[in-house]
Amino acid sequence: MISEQLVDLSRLQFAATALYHFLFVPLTLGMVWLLVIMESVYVMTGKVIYKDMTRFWGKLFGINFALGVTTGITLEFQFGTNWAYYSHYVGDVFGAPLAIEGLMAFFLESTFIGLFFFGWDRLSRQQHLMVTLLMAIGTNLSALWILIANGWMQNPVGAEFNDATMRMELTDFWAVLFNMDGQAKFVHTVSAGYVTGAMFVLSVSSWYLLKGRDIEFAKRSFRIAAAFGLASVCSVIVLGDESGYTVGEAQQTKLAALEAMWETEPAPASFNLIAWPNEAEQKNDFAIQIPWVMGLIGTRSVTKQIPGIKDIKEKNRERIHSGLRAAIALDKIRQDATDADARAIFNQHKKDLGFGLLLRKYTADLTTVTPEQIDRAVNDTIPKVTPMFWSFRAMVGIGFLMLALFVLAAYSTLSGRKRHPRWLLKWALWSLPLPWLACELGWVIAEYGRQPWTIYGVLPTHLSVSRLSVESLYGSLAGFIGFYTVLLVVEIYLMIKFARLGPGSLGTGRYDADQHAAAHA
Amino acid sequence: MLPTDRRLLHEITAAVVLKLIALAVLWLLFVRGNQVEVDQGSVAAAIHGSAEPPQSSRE
Repeated sequence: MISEQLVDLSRLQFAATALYHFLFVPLTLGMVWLLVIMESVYVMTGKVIYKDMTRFWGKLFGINFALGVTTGITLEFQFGTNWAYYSHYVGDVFGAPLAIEGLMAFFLESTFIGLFFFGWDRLSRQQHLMVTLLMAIGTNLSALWILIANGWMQNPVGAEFNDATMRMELTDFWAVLFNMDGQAKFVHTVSAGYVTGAMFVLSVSSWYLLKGRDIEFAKRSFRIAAAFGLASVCSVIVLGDESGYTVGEAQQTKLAALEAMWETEPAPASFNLIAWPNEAEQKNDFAIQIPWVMGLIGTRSVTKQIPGIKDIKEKNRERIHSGLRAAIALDKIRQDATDADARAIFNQHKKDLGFGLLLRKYTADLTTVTPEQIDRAVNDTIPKVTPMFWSFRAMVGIGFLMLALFVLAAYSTLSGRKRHPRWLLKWALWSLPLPWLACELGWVIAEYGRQPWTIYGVLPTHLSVSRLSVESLYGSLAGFIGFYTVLLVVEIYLMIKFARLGPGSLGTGRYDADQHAAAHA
Repeated sequence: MLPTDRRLLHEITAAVVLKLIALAVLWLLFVRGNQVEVDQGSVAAAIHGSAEPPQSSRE
């Protein structure tokens, strides 16, 4: 049997690289639309300050893009090394959206990003705006295909296990494409990216306003960021609710763990605003509840029940028994493909095959499974409640904090006052890390909450990993973390350097740094 | 092109080149030698614990 240390290290390596990669991605996703907005205003009004805004924020966007691009490649390395069995088992399905992402979206955004930076003097205003728009579409298409692949991991529709080839095979591409989990994750994730872009521009503009420099430039940037951020943060909240609803449909275990719902309550269930989950005794030691809210959010009705963890476990126990029969029958089919009895049993239970495979963590021989091993596999079907519960509340709390900030920023900018209050500018400045924190927490909720599966209900995580040496995993983990840390340090250095230079770095002679330079000349 | 832009271009180019070199080194050190050969039989053994089927049943 595979060692738990190997599984944990492989998971840690993937999590660390994905979390680092996702520090770069949301800023790219969000800032590119801000560039489209700023340049559209320039094309419509002809006011050159909006061109300067597009060029200056575009420069910071370019730094992030240059350092962020290819940081996802280490994840692809790991599919071939650490997750070779996973790649073989589901590669036919999972590989398709990743390949389309590379061929369609990545080339689109890479081509137009070059034109964006070097086409200012070669293209007409309208043509350049079209380039910026296509760059934005390419960037967001990239996210679409990645999240379609991830959505399939969360809810594996449109595919079937083929016992002859021992892999999952695509049966319905459109089901994978329009999988509700993938679509809900896409709109929620890109909206979170838009908030990140808006917060970045809002924070840096606030810093200029606090310093009293480049006032007109900063006020216009602040205004666009506040309006775009407000729309985006509202989208994140509404679409996050939709994402939660689809989770409730496809992954009851995740929803129950998120809400620390141990028992099935009469509909509509109450919402645990704050609770101290006690995993050993399967109860909450303390809870502040709001009646009805969970039922309304989770089911969109007042009559449908949301199953609690204990009931889900009992259902999963039945599925493990059923899956065990499928796994034993599959082994017989592998020995003798003409065994009609085994084939009949397999066909009857194959939808639960993945649950039977959970037992392979505890025994190599599925014909000698003990009740104690089944109990352990049943417990494994629920992700750890405490980290899920608190990660979710922290993410939602940050979301509402940002909503309050963007509401006040939009109000301040629309009220026509000459100066924004300093406390608001300071709040905006110090809120800069918040969207990244929320994005990373969202990733933890989605992926940690999918455990113990890599493909929900189909392939357990512990069976997906390659049998590498622990030493090589420690080595590659250190190498990857070192690589990303250097990139992050360079990114922060360049961002701070060019943010401090401000729009004066454009050399137009219209901004503070230019005027200071002229005065000193 | 302004001096600051030229400097940024140099810095970004250097960062991207160094990044690609670092990725190549990581690949050489940790990936190339660790690629795992998988086929139907090894997946069956690793995931399902199934023994390799007899030759006749494969055909």
